Amino acid sequence: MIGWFGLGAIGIALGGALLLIWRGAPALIGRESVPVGRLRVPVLALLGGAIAAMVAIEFGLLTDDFSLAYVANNHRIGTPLTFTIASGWAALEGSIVLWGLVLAVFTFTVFRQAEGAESDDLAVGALAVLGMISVFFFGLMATVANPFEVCVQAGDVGCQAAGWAPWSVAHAPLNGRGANPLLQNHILMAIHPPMLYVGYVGLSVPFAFAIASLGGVHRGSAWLIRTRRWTLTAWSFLTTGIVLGAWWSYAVLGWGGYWAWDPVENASFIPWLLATAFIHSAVVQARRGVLQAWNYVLVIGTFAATILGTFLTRSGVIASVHSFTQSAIGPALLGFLAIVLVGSLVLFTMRLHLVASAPRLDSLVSREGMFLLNNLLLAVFAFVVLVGTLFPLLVEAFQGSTVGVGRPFFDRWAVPLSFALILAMGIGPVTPYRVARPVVVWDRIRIPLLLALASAALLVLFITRNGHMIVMTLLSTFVIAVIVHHLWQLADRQARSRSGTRRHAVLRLAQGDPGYWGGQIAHIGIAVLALGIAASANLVTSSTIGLAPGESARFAGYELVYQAPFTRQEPNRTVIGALIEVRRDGERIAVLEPRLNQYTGSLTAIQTPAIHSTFMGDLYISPTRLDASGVTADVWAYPMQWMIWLGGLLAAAGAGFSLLAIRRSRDSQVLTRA
Amino acid sequence: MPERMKRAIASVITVVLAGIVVWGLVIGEPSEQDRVQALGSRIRCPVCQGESIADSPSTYARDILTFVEEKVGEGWTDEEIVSYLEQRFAGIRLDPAFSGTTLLLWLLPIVALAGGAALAVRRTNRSNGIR
Repeated sequence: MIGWFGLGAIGIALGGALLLIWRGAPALIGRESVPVGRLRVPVLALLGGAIAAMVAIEFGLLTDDFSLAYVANNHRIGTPLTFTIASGWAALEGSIVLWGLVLAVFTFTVFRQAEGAESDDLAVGALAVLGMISVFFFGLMATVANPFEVCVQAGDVGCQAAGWAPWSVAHAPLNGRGANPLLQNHILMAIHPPMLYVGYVGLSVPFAFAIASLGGVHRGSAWLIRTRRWTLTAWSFLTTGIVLGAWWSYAVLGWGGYWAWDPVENASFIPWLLATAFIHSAVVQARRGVLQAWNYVLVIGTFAATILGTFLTRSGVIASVHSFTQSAIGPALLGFLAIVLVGSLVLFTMRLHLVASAPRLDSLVSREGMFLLNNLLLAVFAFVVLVGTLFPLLVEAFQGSTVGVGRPFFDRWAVPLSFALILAMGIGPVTPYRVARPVVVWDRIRIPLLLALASAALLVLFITRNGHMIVMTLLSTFVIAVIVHHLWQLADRQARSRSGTRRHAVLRLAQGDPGYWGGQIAHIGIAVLALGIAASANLVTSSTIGLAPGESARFAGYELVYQAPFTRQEPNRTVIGALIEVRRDGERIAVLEPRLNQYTGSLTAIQTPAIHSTFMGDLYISPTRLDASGVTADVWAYPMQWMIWLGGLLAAAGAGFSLLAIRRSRDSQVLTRA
Repeated sequence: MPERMKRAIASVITVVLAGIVVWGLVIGEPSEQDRVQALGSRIRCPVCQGESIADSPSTYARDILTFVEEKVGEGWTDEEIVSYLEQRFAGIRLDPAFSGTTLLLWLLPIVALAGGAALAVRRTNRSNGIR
C-alpha cells in the first residue's frame, strides 16, 4: 500500500520536473520569454511529490512495515524514535529521496523569489535547469534506487530479495536488519547528513542560474548576485555538515582522530573548497566586474564536485573499483557527472565570446589581487585533494596495482597551502581595491603583527618549539588581530566624527555592512579552527593502558583508576563498559565510561570512546578489549580540541550573518559593498 | 610620548619578538620521537583499511612502529627505514614515492599552481607599472 503511494509520489515529482523543463525551456535557450506563473503547477507538483515520498518512507519506518525492502534492511523493531526517523536517509535509497526533497525545496524558493516579477527569464531558465537535475534524481528513485521496492523473499531478519514493482506479492520478514550500528551510535548521525545535503544541493542553485545566464544570454552579474543567498546558505550548511561529520568521527569511531583524508571526507571537502573560492570571486565580479568567465567555470566545477562527491560516497567505488558496477547507481551518477561537465563546458565555450571581456586588473597588489591569490590557492587545494582521492582509483582501474595515497601526501600540500591561505586572509580584507599603496596596508597590519609576534614568542618561550605550531599561532593570531584592530580603528574614527560611544560605532559598522563583517566572523572562525587543528596534530600525546580492576595508570598529568566493569541492557543494544575514575593532583575530576556497544543483530561490538573535555584539552579513552581480567584502552590527550568545533561553527555562523545583508537590501546591492 | 618615539619602540619590540620566533623555529629540531611519529604516519598498516601504523591501534601496527623506533635509535635514515619495509610489504607507503607513476601525482598540483599563477599575472594590466 505504502509502496504504491511512495512510487506514485515519485511519479508526480518526476512529472512535475519534466513539465518544468518543457515549460521553462524556451526561456532557457533564449528563444522566447516565459511568464513565471506558468511554472507554478510543475514546481508545486515537484515539491508535493518529493514531500510525499519522504513522508511515505518515514511512515513505513514508523509503522515497522517490513514489506518494504528498505524498511526491512535498515530498521528493526525497538529502534529509538530519533534513529528510526534518521533511518529514512541513512541508507542509499532514502538518502536519494532526501536529496530530491532538498532540491525540490530549493527549487520552490527560487520560484517564490521570482514569482513577484512579471517576467524573469533568468529565473525561469534556472528553474528549467533545476528541473533537469530533479529529473535525474527522481529518475534514480523510480529505477535503480527505488526506496519502495517490495520484499518478495523474507530472510530470518531483513529482506533476501526485492521486487521493483509495487504490485509484487510481499513476503515481509518478522523483523528487520536494523541500521548500521555505527550510524546508530550517536545522535550526530541523524543531523550530519541533512546538513551536508542542504550544502550540496544548495550549490545547484547558483549553477542553475549560471547555465540559464549562459543559455539565455543574460549579460552581466545578475546570476551570481541573485544567487548569493543560496550560495551563502549552502556554504554555511556544508561547513556545519563537515564539522559535525568530523565531530562524529571523533566522538564515535574511537580511533582518536577526527579527519583521516578518507575519500568520503574528501568528497565533501572538494566542493567546500570550490564553494569557498566562488563566494570570494563572486564578490570581486559584483564589485569590479572582473573574473566573469572564471566564475562560470568555478560554479560549474563546484556543482560537478558535489555530484562527484555523491558518486564517491554512494557508488561503492571506494571499497574497490570492482565493486561499483554491482549497483547501477554508480554508473548512473558517473554518467550524469559526464553529462553535466560536458554539457556545461560546451555551452560555456559556445557563449564565451558573449561573456563580457573583463577589464584587466590594475595591479596585483590590491584587494582584487588578494582575491585572485585566494582563488588560486583554494582551486589548487581542491585539485590536490581531487587528484589524491582519484589517483588510487585510476591506478587500480588501469594498472591493477594498489597505490596508497594517505595523510602524508595530503598533509604535505595542505599545510603550506593553509599557511598561505591564512596569511592572505589576514592581509586581504584590509587591502584597498584597485591599487593598494603598501604604506596603507602596513599601517593596518603593523600593530596586529606585533601582537601576533608576541603570542608566537610566548609560545616559543613557554610551551613548544614545534615549527608548525609556531607558524600557525603566528598566522592565526595575526588574522584575528587584524580584524579586531581594523574594526577598532573604524569605530574609533566614527566615534570621533559622529558623537557616540565606540560600542555603538562597532554595532553600527557591523549592521551597516553585514556582508563584509559576516565574512570577517567566518575568517576568525577559520583561524580558530586552523589553530585547533595544528594544536591537535602537533601537541597530542597518546599511549595504551592495560588495567585490572583497582589498578591505576598515569598519563599526561592524569591518574586513571579502573574501578569496575559494568553491563547495561538498553532497548537496541547491550553496553559493556568500564568505569574509569580520572584524577588530577589526587582529586577526582571525572568518571568516564568507555564502552563496547553490542547492537542487536550485529556481530561485532562498536568501541565507543569516552571523552572528558575541558578548556585546556580533551582526555580521550577508547577501549580495545574489555573482559573479566581487565581493560585495555588507547588514550589520547588533545590540547584545546574545542577550538576545532567552535571555529568551524563560527565560520558557518559568519556566513549566516552575511545573509542579513541580503534580507535587508532585497538582493540589489548586496555584493557591491562587500 | 611623541608618535615617532612610539613607532621606534614598536619597531624594536617587533624585531626582538621576531627574533625569538625565528630562534624557536631554528632550534626546533625534531626529536627522535617526532621522527618515529612522522615515519609512522607515512607507513600503511598492512592489516588495516588505509590507516597508518601511527594511527592504528592494532598490535601488528604497534609492532612495526616499535621496529621503526629501534631503527631510528640505531641511526638509520628515514629513507632507509621506509625502503627496508617496502621490500617486506608491497604498497606499504602511504606517502607515494617521487618516481614512476606516482611522480604524476606530485607533479600535477605543481603544474596547476604554476599555470594558475601565470594566468593571473598575464591578466594584469602591465601598463600600470610602466606609467
